[in-house]
Order: sequence, then C-alpha cells, then structure tokens
Amino acid sequence: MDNTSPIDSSAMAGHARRAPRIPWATWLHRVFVVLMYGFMLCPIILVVWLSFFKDAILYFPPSGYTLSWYVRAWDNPAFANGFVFSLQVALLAAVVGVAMGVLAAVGIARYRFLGSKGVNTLLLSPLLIPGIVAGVGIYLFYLRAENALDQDIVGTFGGLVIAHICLTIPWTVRLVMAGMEGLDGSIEEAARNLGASAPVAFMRVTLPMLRPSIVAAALFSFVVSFENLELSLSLAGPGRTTLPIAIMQYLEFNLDPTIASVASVQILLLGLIMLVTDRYVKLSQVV
Amino acid sequence: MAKVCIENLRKQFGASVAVSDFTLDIAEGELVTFLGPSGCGKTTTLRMIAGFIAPTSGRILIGDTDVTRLPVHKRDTGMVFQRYALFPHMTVAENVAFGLEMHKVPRAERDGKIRRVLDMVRMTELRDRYPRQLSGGQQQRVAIARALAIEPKVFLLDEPLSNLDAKLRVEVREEIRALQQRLGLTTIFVTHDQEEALAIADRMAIMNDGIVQQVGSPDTLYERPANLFVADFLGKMNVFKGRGNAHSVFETAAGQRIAAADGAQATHLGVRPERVRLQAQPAGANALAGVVESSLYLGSVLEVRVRLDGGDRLVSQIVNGGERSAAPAPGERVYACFEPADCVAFTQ
Repeated sequence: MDNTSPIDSSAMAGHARRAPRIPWATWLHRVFVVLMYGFMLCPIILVVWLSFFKDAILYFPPSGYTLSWYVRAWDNPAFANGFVFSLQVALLAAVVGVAMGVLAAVGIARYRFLGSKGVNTLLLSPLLIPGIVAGVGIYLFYLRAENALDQDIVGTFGGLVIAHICLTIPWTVRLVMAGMEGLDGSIEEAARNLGASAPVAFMRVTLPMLRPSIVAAALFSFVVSFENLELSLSLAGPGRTTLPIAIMQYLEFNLDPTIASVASVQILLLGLIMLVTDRYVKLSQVV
Repeated sequence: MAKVCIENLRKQFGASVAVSDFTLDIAEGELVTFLGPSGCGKTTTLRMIAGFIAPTSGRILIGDTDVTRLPVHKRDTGMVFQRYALFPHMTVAENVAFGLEMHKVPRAERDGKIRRVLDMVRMTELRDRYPRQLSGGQQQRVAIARALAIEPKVFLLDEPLSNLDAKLRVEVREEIRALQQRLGLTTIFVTHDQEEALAIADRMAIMNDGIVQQVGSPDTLYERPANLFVADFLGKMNVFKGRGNAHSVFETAAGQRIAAADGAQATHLGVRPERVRLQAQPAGANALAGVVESSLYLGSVLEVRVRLDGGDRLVSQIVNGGERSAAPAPGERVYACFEPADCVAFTQ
C-alpha cells in the first residue's frame, strides 16, 4: 500500500494513525505455524518430486524428469498384487472393525457393568503395544491355534484380517464414544416416547446421529490397516504380501524412484478418500 | 384422551427421596401444571408417567390401564422436551411421520395427518426443512406437532418454554393452551416459572422437596395458599410472625394487632403486597401506622417498603398511574390499610 499518495485521503488517515504494531508473540506464532506446515509437508512434497526423477540413482539436481517409474511400479507384480491385497485387507478390516467397535463403544458408554472400565482399556490397548510385539504375539498365538484346529492361519488372508481388525477397533471405540458424549439423550427418549422400541430407536435415531463419528472411524480404520507394516510382517505369507511389505522388501536391494512413485500413488489414494469423505462428513468436527 | 391417576407414587435414588407419596387425579381434558423449584421432583414425576424412570412404589393409571410396568413405547404419551429433541437427520415432515410409522398408521393416511398437525402449529410451509434450519420457537412447534400426531392419551410437556426468549415464551404458551383446549388434551405441564404455571393451568400442583405442597386452581393457590412455602413461592407475601386468638385478631411478635378473618391457631399471618393500600388517613379494619423506608420503581408497579411503628416491616405494591398517583416519598408517614378478608393465616 502506498501510504504517501497525496490523493488518497483514507490512506493519509491510515498513515496518520499508523498501522498497529504486531506484537512479537504474534510473529513468533506465525513463524511457528509456517515451520510446522513445512515440517509436515516437506516429506510428502519431496517424495512426489523424487518419483519423477529420471536418474535411477537418487541424485540432486536430477538430470531430467520422467513418468517411467510409475509404469515400472505397476509392472512389478509385487507392488501391483500388494496394492490389491492391502486394499482387500484394509476394506474388510475397516468394515468388520467398525461394526464391532460401534457396538463395543455403545455398550461401554451406555452401561455400567462389572469390568466395563477394564474392557475399555483392553479395547484401546492395541494403541499402546508396539506393532512388532503385537505381531509376534499374534503369530505365536496363531501357531498354537493352528495346532489345535489343524488349520492354516498364519499366512492366510483371514488370519491377517483378524489381526488388522484388532488394530482398527481402538479407533472406532474412541471416536464413537466421543460422538456419543455429544449426543442429547432426550432425542432417543423422544423416539421411544413416539412408540419406538429400544432397538428401533437406536437404529433409526441414535445410529444416524453417530454417522460422522462412524464415517471418521471407518476412514481411520482403513488408513491404519492399509499402511500397517509391523503387524503384517510376521503374519503375511508367501504370495500374500501387503503393499508396505512389498515396499520394504524392494528397498532392501534397490533405491530408485520406483518406491517414490508407489508412495505417491498411496498418498494420492488416501488423500482422495479423505477429500471425498470430508464432503459428506466434516472430519474436523469429529476428530 | 384419557384421565390420569397417580397413586402414592414414590421414587428413591439410593438414600435420597426424589418424590414421595405423590397422589393426583387428572381429569380428561384437564391441564395440570407441576410447579416448583429445581430439584423438587416435578420432572422426575413426569418422567415416571412417561416411563423413563421406574417408580420405587405406587401406581400410574392412564385411562383404566395400569401403566406402571409398561415400557415407554407402549404408554401412548406424547412428550415435548425442554431442548426440543427433534431428530436432526430428518426433515420436519419426517420428524412428524416417525411416530405415525411407529404406530403403524397406513402410509396413505400419514400425509393427511402430517399436514393437519403441521397446520395446527403453523409449520406447513417449513415441512421440508431440517431442524438446524429452524429457530427455537419453530423447533418447539414441530416438537409439539410431532407429539400430537400420534394422538396420545396424555400430553406431557417438560419445561417446554425455558429455552425460548421471553416474548416467544408467552406466544408459544398461549398457542399450547389454545391447542390443548381445542383438542381437549389431558395435559401435564412441568415448569419452574410461576407466571407460566398460573397463566396456563386448570389446576396446579406445587411441589417442594419431593412432596406435593398443594393442588388447586391458580386462584385458590394464590388467594388461599396452604402453607408458607406456597405463599412465598407463588407471588410475594408479607408474612407476620405471631399468634392468633379466638376473636379474629392476630398479634404479631412485635405487638402489632391485626384484624384477620380467621386463624385462631395461626402462628403466621400473610397479606399480599398489592392488597395493601397506603393512605394519609386511617381507614377500614386495619390501618397500621408507619414510615416509608424506600420505594422501588418497577415499571408497571411501584413497590413501597414501610416500617410500621411497632417495628414490623411491610411491602405495598401500587399500580403505577403516572402523575396522578405519585408514590409516597421515603420518610413520609402513612397508614397501611387492608381488609381482614385479604389476610391468610398459617399454622406451623
């Protein structure tokens, strides 16, 4: 703004009043915000950028740009199959995990029963236990179950999905319990008063009101399962590798932009899912 | 519509008694208000009638049916909640339709019924709006329509106006009363607002500490309160401590003698402030000399505090007549005059 212009009287008045001085705390706050955004976005931007580098060995600055790494990634059966497999596992784990988690959350939030606090802690515990430890634990448990049932579990699709369901339940329980806290209890009472039995009132009135929490829970469950590495490591079998495992295995012997292109696709996919979800349910209001 | 009989209803939460020995018959088409301070048990009683709380003992009959052990959804009551409690994910029409669907009203009849109840509360235009798009008053109208659509045997309202602003409160209150009379609804209306209770009720039940203090028509309760709690809770009352005698004279603790219509055994004597006239010359059966202490300007009325010569204090309410009736100034000598018939005697 040109405050010295003699024609612009309002600018003159503004000049006379002087722009208010911004306190140093506000500046510090702004700098901090910019740094934090940079800190969070830098890896993502870098990965996407790298995926277009022409050179097979990471080198700055790149000698040129290409899309060929994306083609190569898709041509690599480990990635293509891993992607599809991870998608299947994550979808099923999210659906089953959310269904079970919602019931658990409602039970814990509504009823005081013997050990309800303990059940709550137990359901949240997968968040506290390191994934690698949980993975080994589940692996050993599966081995025993295999012996007892005379049935393959380790390395099967079902075995992996069950483990991932355990992983997703804490997210649903927490989100749905938080959602229930914000509900006006008299709304379900109104439904009861209008002639709905308790289960009908729950299905027709309470559950729809929990929709934002449930959608958010499904989204988080999907993401948590899709990108999980530690738990899957000990449970995946030959020919049944998830995408994160495929990436790790590739990284052991190669360091070219193929990985970056795989990661870019994953970032794009999860970002899209979040954007689409946000159109229907404002995630910022739930989480 | 049906009559409601409440017999010896009692509710205890652990050791604390929320409602004790509540007995009341409500006639068909009658509007009864439950009035009392918060925590007096009025809402607990209403929730027991609706079925949300199981009574510790006692019976509730709607019509001739004992509903004491019936679940909420089989009681046929229509309830309006303080915070509207509309279903946020349904439109106005869907909110109303919900109860009809639950009562298995055939689809073909639903639309006519929805239109009729929405017409009643003047909400037909907004039938496709969602609750969040409505003002508080509109939401409460929809809640009323929703409760009435199922043609309940009893209409229950739990402080339905407390979330509305003052002007709207009066407006919706009058609509509820008009609707109730037109449809002949047996209605229980819970409130803590005495003016609201007086304005709307056929009869009122005043509660305190879980106990019904008095049941009666608004004017009975106001003119002849059964005890000091009712006298003090409903409007204002000058109360003198002292002793009555057989000659219809009440002597206050300070020695002031007051002619009262009755109350040989009385320990307290009350008189409403608006029944006390302040005059320069004594007149009538009671003319108590005193000095004006202060005068409060309340708009439509003036509240004048008088210190009687015997030491008792008394408040008089004078209609604000503008220039023609200036209130006596502080320090002025006056006579507080009132009729023996306006005195209420209490025994404690």
